[in-house]
Amino acid sequence: MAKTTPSLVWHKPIKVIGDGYIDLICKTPDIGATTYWVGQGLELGDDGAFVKFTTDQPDYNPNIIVAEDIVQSDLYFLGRKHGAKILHNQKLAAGTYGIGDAVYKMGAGTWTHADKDTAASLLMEVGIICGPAQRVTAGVMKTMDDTFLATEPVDICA
Amino acid sequence: MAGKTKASHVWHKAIKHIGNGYIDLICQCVDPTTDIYAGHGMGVSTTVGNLTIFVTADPDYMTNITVAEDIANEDRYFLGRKKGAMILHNQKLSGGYQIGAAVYKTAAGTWSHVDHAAGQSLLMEVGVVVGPSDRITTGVIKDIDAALTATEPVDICI
Repeated sequence: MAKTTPSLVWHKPIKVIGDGYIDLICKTPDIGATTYWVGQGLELGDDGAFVKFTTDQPDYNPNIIVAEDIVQSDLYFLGRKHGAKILHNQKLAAGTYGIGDAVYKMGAGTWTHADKDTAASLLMEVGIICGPAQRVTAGVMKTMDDTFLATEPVDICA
Repeated sequence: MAGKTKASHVWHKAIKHIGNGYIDLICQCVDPTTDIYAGHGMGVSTTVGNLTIFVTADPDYMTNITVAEDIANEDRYFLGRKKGAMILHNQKLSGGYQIGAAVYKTAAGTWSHVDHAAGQSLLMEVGVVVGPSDRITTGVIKDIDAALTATEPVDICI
């Protein structure tokens, strides 16, 4: 199976705004020859990706679970974030980001990749980059599979 | 900053917003002495009734309260986001508490200040005193900054 991109998962980053939750595209590393079932809790992995929650996890709970099963070769999945809202016109720190990246608000007042090796990002409920899915940058139409730069305003589900 | 904040500095009503699966409301915190950013997890502090910045490896029950709007140096009240919350009316306090105080229900059936030194209060999802913000006590109109006594019925967000 080919590895997924955000647009393979859903044509919009946000699938549904439900009763107390938002289902949206999130990033994960390839989980290998296994399946994560609906309801599985998730925690921070590397570079804005989520991995399976582990017992005795001492970090702040990101409140994100699997909304639709994840299978091998998936790099994006539909996650469910509880009690969430969408923040608009947010700023990203230097770097490149994509739809579905997990981010946290850092000292500089901007959002940067959450990472299990960055202590500060383990103390927070993280946000997810969820838009804009389509935008015009330098006269070129970009789609949800294209990266965001620090100069673009983004939407974050936090 | 001119001085430490009061509840009414944060918002004129105890509850700012009832959102999609969360309630944004005034909470009491220890002076952070630095900036705490939106999304940060909050835990129970050693100052009774106050919340403080979540720390890694905190084994206590999750309060499910995060920072909804950034907290600055000298803030003693902030807007917190409580996930999956509801408002309980006609509750009883065990002492004179204020809007934003973090409380838990004790064996006596009343609500008392949470305290990191009180083991029982670390095992529960804490409530927050949210009202009534405006009330008449012995013919005097009280506002959001006035303490609620043990003889007044109060609203708790749990």
